[in-house]
Amino acid sequence: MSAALLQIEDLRVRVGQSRRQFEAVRGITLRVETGEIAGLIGESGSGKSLTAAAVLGLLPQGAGLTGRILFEGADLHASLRSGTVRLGRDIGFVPQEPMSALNPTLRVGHQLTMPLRYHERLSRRDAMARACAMLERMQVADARRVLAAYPFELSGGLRQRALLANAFLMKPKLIIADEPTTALDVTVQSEVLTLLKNNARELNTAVLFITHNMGVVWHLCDTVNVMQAGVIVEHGRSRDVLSNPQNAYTQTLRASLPEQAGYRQRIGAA
Amino acid sequence: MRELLNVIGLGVDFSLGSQTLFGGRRKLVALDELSLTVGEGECVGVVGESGSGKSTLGACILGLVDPTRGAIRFDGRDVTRLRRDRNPDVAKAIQIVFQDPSGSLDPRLPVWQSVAESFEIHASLRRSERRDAAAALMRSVGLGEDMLDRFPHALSGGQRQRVAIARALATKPRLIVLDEPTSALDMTVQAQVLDLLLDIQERTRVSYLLITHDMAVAGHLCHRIAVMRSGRIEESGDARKIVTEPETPYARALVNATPRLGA
Amino acid sequence: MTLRLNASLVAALLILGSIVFVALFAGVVAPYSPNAIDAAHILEPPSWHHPAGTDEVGRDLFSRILFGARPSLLVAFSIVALASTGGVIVGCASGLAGGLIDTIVMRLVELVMALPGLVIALALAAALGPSLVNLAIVLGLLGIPFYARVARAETLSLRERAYVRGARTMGAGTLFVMRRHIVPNLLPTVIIFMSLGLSGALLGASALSFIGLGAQPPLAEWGALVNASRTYMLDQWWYAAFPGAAVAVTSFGFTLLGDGLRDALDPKNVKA
Repeated sequence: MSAALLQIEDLRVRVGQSRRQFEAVRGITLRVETGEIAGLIGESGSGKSLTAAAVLGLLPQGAGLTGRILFEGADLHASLRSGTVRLGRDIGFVPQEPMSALNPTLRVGHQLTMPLRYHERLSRRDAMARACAMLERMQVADARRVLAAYPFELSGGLRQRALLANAFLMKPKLIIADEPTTALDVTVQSEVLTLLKNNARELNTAVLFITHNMGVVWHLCDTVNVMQAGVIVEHGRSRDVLSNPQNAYTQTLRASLPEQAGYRQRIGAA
Repeated sequence: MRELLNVIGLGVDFSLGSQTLFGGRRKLVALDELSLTVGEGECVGVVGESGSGKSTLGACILGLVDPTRGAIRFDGRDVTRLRRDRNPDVAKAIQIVFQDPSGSLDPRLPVWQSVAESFEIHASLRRSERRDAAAALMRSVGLGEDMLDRFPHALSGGQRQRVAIARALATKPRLIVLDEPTSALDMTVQAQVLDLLLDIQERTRVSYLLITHDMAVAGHLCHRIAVMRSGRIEESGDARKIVTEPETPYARALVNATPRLGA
Repeated sequence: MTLRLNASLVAALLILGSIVFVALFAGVVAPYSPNAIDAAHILEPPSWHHPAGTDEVGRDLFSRILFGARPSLLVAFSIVALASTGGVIVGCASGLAGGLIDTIVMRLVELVMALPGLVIALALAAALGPSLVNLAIVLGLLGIPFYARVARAETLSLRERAYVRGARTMGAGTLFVMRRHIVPNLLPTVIIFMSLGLSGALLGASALSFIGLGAQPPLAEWGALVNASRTYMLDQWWYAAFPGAAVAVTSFGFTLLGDGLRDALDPKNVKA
């Protein structure tokens, strides 16, 4: 079996303060292949966001981690430390809250071009041109204006497109997206997800997409991992798992969707 | 079906920014000549995205915002700018359940006191009686006696919403405005809360005005839906029909954008 | 309101408890009378007989400090009590009223803040006669604007909370909302300011005592003692050090109290 792009093996994450630590991620194993859009679905407290944070090396202070995280066959955190793998260049990140991810005192163009100029030593003009082109890929109508604007001047949808552009800018091999559309209106969400999917396909970028929304997984993801209370209870091709869930929890999740129940009928068991 | 709530040509303007030298502030039209009705025992959904004005509509009905134009009639009575502190009967008849997470319950009060708040406001019961009434209300929404003295932060999101629902039921209201009641909840918890709301409506024939951005929830729970955009109703009618065969482009866009399985 | 003990609170209660005990029972605890002049033992350094040394007329400094606890504590508490109570009422009412009333009240508050406190105190002392009581009243009133602004800021944010709006839709009047929801929720913030204010009040009172507006000699209020020590500070270090230490320890106790109360009153810290 060929090595996956991202391979997580028996990952365990402990969080909390000294006396009250508990294991929030309890031994999960997960693969993302090159160019694959993998979903990680779970409710609050499932540990899905912590998993993403663990991969990115962004765990909160005092958190402990065991297990292996391999990126392109090598230990990821070691590669990050040595600089062989760099966040932003090889692994991108799209967060949930566009407002807190963007520095409100810097213009969007400045923020987008910073990593380009740092990692690839581009001149300001070249970096701006690249950023502009990427924004246009994200179907931003007036890319120049957006580059010149401050984050608060833009709508939520535009900000998220800017963050998408930021994630794809250096054509990373893997993008980790943590509920990137949860805070958006539903029509905007739909556009952003389409952009994510199309660009990932075109650039052969793998995506680890974290969400609680089954419908999104259905439309966006090739594979899905279902997470509950720190463990992965089911995984497989998303259409298979979601249309015919084998695990009881996945079945409960699916059954709790309002559209799965009869009109004005009880959704859960009586 | 008897008409309970009648919103007629409701308009709300907000003035923005500072006044210019020659008078006239910039105006934001939050609601634009909006009309809708809710019948007894009916669940009417107001579905829209941010900026649609749906929350402003709810605020007007609850007496938190005074409309600029138009009228609101409740049970035949004009309640348009009615002060709730001077009209307890109207205050009791129209209740609200907010979207959690925080802010819906006073963090310094044990939850039974939040549930029994209306009894305290209207000075109708003694403290021990209020506590008993709170216990009964909490039981009716599936929360046990052990929860009475807990504080909001010690409860899960779903439990807090149940407390909020119990509080709304305390006054035996005729209409409950539900402002995104399940948007902040996990899917399984949302299902439980929706079932509870259904249950309550079947038991008590209370009417609901459900404000939400989630077409799936509205299509499941509501009899009729009004789709709002920019302060106006774009389309309204039977809930099932709107969800399966929306007519206007915007309503169609909303329905299509809602991610569903099996499509 | 529920109250739970924690480390800060216990420490604060121990420190302040001892000081309050001393304040109440100075007559029993102190080795000498605070006014016992002893010409033979002027400005003596600390010794077995006089643990804190003696002052310029031979009075035992340790006893004077003990007897000075009561007026010092009383004046600090009175000032803060007056300022915070008045400030919370004004700020809260103004914040809830909103509109023109709020604007007018806050401009008046800012006007009072802009007045030079020292000059006002001088003028009032001239009019009313210098005494510790008048001092407390003057400083208390002058402190109201500070708490009013804090209370108003908290009120403005609290009144938008869903539970406050919900109470209003239930038919709650302004007074109910203020009493039931706003004031209890702004108390933790106010209490912290009060604990800081106690230290400031103590020192402010001493500054005015120096001008002769506050404690009249031979009252051994700590601020007055510190200021009496000014002339002797360089050679007779104990004269400033021990009363100063008394103020410092008490201030520390007040700060711990503020910390401890804030944590104790926060329902999030209640163990389930």
